[in-house]
Amino acid sequence: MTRAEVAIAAAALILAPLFKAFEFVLLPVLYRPDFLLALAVAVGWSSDLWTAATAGFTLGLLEDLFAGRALGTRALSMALAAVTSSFVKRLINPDSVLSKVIAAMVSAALADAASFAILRARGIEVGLIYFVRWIWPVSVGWSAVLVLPVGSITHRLARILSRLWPSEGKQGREAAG
Amino acid sequence: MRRHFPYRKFITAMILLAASVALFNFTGKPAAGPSFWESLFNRVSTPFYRAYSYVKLRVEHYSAAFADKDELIRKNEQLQKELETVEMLRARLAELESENSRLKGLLQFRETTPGKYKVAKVYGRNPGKWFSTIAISLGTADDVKADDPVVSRTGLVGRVLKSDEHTATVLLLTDPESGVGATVEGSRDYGVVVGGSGPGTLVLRFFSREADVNPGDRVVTSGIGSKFPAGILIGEVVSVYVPKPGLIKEAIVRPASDLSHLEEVMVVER
Repeated sequence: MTRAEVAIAAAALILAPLFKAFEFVLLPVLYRPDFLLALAVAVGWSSDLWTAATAGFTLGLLEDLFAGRALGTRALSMALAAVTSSFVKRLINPDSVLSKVIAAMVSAALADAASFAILRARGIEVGLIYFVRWIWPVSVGWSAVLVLPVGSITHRLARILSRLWPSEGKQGREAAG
Repeated sequence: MRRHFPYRKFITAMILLAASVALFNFTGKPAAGPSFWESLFNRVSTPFYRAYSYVKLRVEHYSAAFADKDELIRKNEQLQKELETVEMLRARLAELESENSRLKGLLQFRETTPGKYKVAKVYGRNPGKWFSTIAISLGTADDVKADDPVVSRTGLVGRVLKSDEHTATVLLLTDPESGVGATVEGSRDYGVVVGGSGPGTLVLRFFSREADVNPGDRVVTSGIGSKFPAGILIGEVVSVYVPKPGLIKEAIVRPASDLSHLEEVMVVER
C-alpha cells in the first residue's frame, strides 16, 4: 500500500460520514444518489486490489452502521464495487474519463446485484421488480454522474492529508540522521 | 432660390392651410366639443407629445439620479434590506401555515382515533436505498420505546425500531423487514402487510385462499399481535393478483400516509 493510497483511503473515511449526513438530512428518498458507493468506486480506481477491498469493506461497514442494520450487509458489496473499479482500470485506458464512468457503472451494477442477493439470502425480501426498476438503474446512473466529482473531492482531501505527515524521504533522512 | 426651396409651392400651401386652420379655430364659434381640426390635431400630435413626455421624464429621472446618487444608493440599500425581511417573513408565514394545517390534521386524527399520542418531528430519512427508516425527535426520555406504533394524520407509518435518549428510528411500512397484521375493512379477511416492493407500495398477503378483496377496499391493522392496536388505517387496495397458480392471492396496497414526505408523526403509547 503506497502513501498515496493510504491518503485516499483516509480521505474516503473522513468524507463518508459527511456524505451520509448530507443524504440523510437534505436529500429526498426517491432517486437518492448513493454517495458512499461512488466513494468506494473512486477509491478503487486509485488503489490496488488489496487497498480497494479494504477501503470498500470499511465504507460498507460504515453504511451499515449509519443504517442501523446488521453489520456486513453492505460491506461485501461495497468491497466488490471498489475491487471491480480497481480491476476494470487495469483492463481499459485509465487516463480516459469515459473509462472511469464505465468502471463506475459496472461496479455499481455488480455491487447492487450482490446486495440484493445478500439481503435475499438473509431472508429480507426486497422485491425483484422494485430492484430492477428502481434501485438498479438509479444507482448505476448516479454512480456514473458522481464518480468524477466525488473522486475529485477525495483526491483533493487526500492531497491535503498527505501534507500533514512527513514525506518518506524526510522520514528516511530523519531516521538516517 | 429655387435650388434652396425645391418644394416652395407645397410648403407655401401647407403654411396657408395651417394658418387657415388656426384662424378657423380661433375665430370660430365655441362648440360643445372640439372641432374637426382640433380632433385631427390632437390625434396627430398625441404620439409626438407622448414621445416628448417620455424623453423629458427620462432626462429628469436620470438627472435626479445623478444629482442624488448617494441618497438613492442609501435608499436602495434600505429598501433591499426591508424587502429581504419581508421575503423572509413571507416564507416563514407560508411555513407556519403549512405546519398549522398539518398539526390540525394530527389533532383531528387524535380526536377520531382514541389513544395517547406524542407528536414528533421527522428530522432524517432512511440512510440507505435498501431500507426505509426515518429518524424522529422523541426518545426514551419521552417514554418512546422499541415497537411503539407510529402514525401520521392519514394512517399508519410504521413502528419504532430503536430509541436513544432524545431520538428514535422508525421502521416504515415500506421497509423489507416490516410486517403488520392487517384486515380488509369490509370482508374482515386477515393477512399481513409487508414492504420491500418500492417506496410507495405495500403487499398484503392473505391467510385464507378465499379472501374477498377488491381494488378500493380499505386495509386496517387487525390488532393481532401486540405491536399495533386494531383499526388504524394502513392503505387502500390498488390491485389483486395470484403470484403463481395455486398460491394464495395477494394485493398491492397504496399506503394511506405519504411516507416520502413525512414532517410530523405521532408515536402511539401502548
